[in-house]
Amino acid sequence: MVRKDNYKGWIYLAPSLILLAIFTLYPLIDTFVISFLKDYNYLKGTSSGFTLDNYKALFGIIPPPDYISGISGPIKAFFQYALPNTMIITFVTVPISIILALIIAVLINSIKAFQKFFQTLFFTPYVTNIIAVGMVFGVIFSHDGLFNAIFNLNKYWVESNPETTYWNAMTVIFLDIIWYQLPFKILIFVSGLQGIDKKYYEAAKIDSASKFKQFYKITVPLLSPQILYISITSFINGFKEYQAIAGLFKDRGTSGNSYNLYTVVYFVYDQVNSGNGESVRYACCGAVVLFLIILVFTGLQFLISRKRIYY
Amino acid sequence: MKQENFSSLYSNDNKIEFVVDGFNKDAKTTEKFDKVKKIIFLTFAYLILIFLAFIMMIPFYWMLITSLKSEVVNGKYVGLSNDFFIPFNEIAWNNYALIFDPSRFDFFNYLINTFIVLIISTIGTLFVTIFAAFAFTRLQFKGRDTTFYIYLITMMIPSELFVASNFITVYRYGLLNDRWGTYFAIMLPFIVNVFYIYLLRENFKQIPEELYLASKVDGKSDWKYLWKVMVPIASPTLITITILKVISTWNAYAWPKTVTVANPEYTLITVGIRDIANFDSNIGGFLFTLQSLQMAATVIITIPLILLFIFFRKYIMSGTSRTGIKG
Amino acid sequence: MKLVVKDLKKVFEGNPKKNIPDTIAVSDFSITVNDGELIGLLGPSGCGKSTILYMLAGLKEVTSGNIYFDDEDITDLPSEKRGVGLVFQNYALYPHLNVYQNIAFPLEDTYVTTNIKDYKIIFYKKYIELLKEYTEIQKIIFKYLGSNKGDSLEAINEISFKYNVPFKLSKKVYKLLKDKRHSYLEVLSNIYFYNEKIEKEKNKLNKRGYTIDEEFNLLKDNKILTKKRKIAKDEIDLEVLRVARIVQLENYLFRKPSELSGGQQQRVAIARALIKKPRLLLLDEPLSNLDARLRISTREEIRKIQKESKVTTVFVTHDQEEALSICDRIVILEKGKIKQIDIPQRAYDDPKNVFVASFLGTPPLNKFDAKVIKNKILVGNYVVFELNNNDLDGEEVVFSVRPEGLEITNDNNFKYYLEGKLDNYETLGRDKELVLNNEFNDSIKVVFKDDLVIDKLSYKLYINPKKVLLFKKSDGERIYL
Repeated sequence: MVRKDNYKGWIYLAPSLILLAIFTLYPLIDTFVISFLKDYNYLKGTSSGFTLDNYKALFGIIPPPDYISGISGPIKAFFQYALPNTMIITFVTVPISIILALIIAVLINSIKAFQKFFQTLFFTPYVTNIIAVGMVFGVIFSHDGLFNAIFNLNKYWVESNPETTYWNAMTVIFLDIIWYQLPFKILIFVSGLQGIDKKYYEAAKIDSASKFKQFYKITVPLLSPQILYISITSFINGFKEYQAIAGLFKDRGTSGNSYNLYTVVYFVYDQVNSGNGESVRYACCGAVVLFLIILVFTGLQFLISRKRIYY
Repeated sequence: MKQENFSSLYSNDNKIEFVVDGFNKDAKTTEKFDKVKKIIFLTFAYLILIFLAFIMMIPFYWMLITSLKSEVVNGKYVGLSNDFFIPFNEIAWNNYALIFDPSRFDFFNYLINTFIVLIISTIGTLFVTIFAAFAFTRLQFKGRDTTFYIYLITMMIPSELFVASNFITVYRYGLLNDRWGTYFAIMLPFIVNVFYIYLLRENFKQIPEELYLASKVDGKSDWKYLWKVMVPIASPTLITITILKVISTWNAYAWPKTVTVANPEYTLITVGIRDIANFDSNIGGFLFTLQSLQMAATVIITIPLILLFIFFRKYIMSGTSRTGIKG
Repeated sequence: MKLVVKDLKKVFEGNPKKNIPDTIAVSDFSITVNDGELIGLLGPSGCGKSTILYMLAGLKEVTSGNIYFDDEDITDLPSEKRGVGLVFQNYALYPHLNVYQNIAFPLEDTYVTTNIKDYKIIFYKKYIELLKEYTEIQKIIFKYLGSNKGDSLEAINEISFKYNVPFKLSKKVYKLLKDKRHSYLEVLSNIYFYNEKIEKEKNKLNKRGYTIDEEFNLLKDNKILTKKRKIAKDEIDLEVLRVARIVQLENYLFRKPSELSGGQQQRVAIARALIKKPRLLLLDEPLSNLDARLRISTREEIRKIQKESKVTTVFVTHDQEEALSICDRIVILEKGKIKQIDIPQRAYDDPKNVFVASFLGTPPLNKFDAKVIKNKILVGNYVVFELNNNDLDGEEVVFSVRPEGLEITNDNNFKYYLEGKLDNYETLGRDKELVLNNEFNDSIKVVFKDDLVIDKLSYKLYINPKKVLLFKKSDGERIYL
């Protein structure tokens, strides 16, 4: 009998609902509130009203209060380093990795022998550990490492060293992220390509369209849902980049006390981890900024894609 | 090819015949030409793929080979060679012995921490996911669809937004003071995974309504139906969820690190390897960071993942690719 | 069990916001089905027959009215407590369970109140009985031995079916007897050993003050003890054996549904419905997923199974042939209302209204709008029938003739005829069918058996007055001649 199971439904939902309420819905509000609290200290649980000072300090408009001098460097570093770095990392790695993944996926899809083998091979990095991968890249790009040896270079890429330039470090970060992000994208694209009806290509053959034209006129439009999905998730992941850097470098910068490799999320975790009751409100500000960036970019992509998606 | 057709068309009086003739001829040459083109294309495709696959695999290989190299010879630091191969008798198995030395890296401590968290959180996630997916498919109640949309929306919010607040929550309730509290602080925020609920719901929805009605007539309650019919039928999806959950727990870094800042001995293996393990060695009065030891440690945490991947490739790849279907 | 349904009504609520009105799926449905009767609910799709079935099963709520099983009002009883068996149109077998598990599913975790028996002694006794048959059993085992790896399962299966024993027992016997060399000695010592065990068990019980009667019931102070308990695995085995025999699935118990043909799946579904000894068996278009040939044999099988198990059965179908051929009585429905309840032949010969008359019979009834003038019935200008009196003078009627009541040949004794132009010609196996048209009906069907040379475009259709049915134009009710 199709009865209404009102209370029963909520009982089955209760475990997930309670956990979501405590660890997702409540923090959503709490984070916004904390980011506006004046002098909030979670260790003491004290605050003195609402203010915009936290955001001002974050963007370097006013210095953070004196009594948390120990962390005054990093807070300014948000606007100075974390935000630009996050943007640079995202806008470099996302397009490159999408295009590379698309090319590899098309190549995999066009071969018959060893197709499954290549598909599996290119997927393997997905299950590995980004921290471990970062450490391996650290070894490969160390001063005496493989990369310098192969290309006969004498550069410092990852060491905490005055000769390690910002762009050197960023290059390694790019490569590390691209390497780690490719597998997922390739998998999605290949399964998308395998879902495309062969008849489109046969029709194109009859019209004797070139391979490049086929790719550009058939593959890309028909793959547009996957491309949109991948670009949205990659941008989100790009803005959230942190672990790749933590894996590669032990520090936040290219030299001992610099913060020039900060990202937004790195900043957030750093402020939470600091153990200082005062700094958590800046972490909240950083998280809110991240949330807004992601919101705006995802919205923009949906707007742009609306005209270009062919389902 | 089309142009050829046209030019021959104009150069001959007997137009129609020639067009037919020429078309046939052209079709043959085109076919040949196509074949050659195809072979060239395929050759390039394989070459590029092999080259790229090689690059993709280098880090794995380099990790493994470096972990077996020796940086210290006769009590002197000589650095790492960049050789691609090492003779069998020069393999430094000793690196693995060193890395298991508790004073460097208390591997088993972190492994136990990780296993405890892994087992409890995976079981927890499975139960929570099964219950939620069941409620969203099988039960009828007011506000069901709205609630499901709210669940989906939470998937869009970056989890970094919750870090600070969740940290305060687990700190306030004293979870960070002892071992088990810390384990639960690591697990609880990630027990609910809306993507898994979505995945299982899709699977549950495919089970025909008649099976439910049949089990009602057969005298079975909703609870029995869930465990005796729905769960066994959806077992491939549940295996996928289990594996994805295991991998994500094994790889967890940022959150476990955050909640174990005060008590590093309760942390998980990935955090341990990056932040706690000691790869330094005092050689002749100087402190060197031994990269071979580092790589031995990464090999140790990578091997279980690779094994999982080898045995459950199908489940992992199908589960991951299903994320893209919705578009 | 006697099924009584009183004024059953089902309304599907609409949505006033979206301007969807309520729909009345079933109304004024009352019927009494006698114990062991097979009744067919027949009607076109959307007539509410499946809704009625689902209400009987407790899968759909009743808007108003009552359902009684014997004298018990079960209208509000949930499905799982009604004790009905339901066979779905698509069978609804559990894909992850094999045939045995599918059939056993309704019995799992169910509770029964029974006399407390000494099951150990029953088991030992049965075991000894089996061992006494050991030459026969060894024949079965060696028949399968070595053919392939499933052979042990097949042998155990056959032993269970032949001696009607649980699988646990036949497995035990199989293990003992599969080795040919020293089996005779083994058998003897086992018989001795288990006889001893029985004695020991009896002694143990006696010491605690219990006695056992010849049916192994446990007695204390000469009183039989009863207990509510979960049904045991061995008992489920025996029940599965029982119904598997009825539906002839003895050799398929350990296959998955996907490995069975449509007809076999169908029988699994019936077995699953029967295993609980349901008070009422419900069949929802059980034949519609089978091909034509299988349909005929299966429907006869269903009839046989139903007669054997003597279970009161309601059978839903849109196929009149099915209903007419196997049901004791049929209920013909239109738009949720009963049009006629009757035994099949009478419903065909003596329909109460135009709906029943035109729904039953293939090819269907030929209908013509007609008018009565004095005692003559006119279709257009053709006089087609003569009434005995003038009572119906001026009435608008539906004049109808069964296809076999229109004859083309001239050598007949019929007075009246209609004319029709030839449209189509079909051979229906033994019979032939002509489709003609005229200005009153664009698809007149005529059936005849003899060889007729089709050489004209237009035919005179002579009307056999005995095959004429007359209905009121206004409400479709029958006018008895």
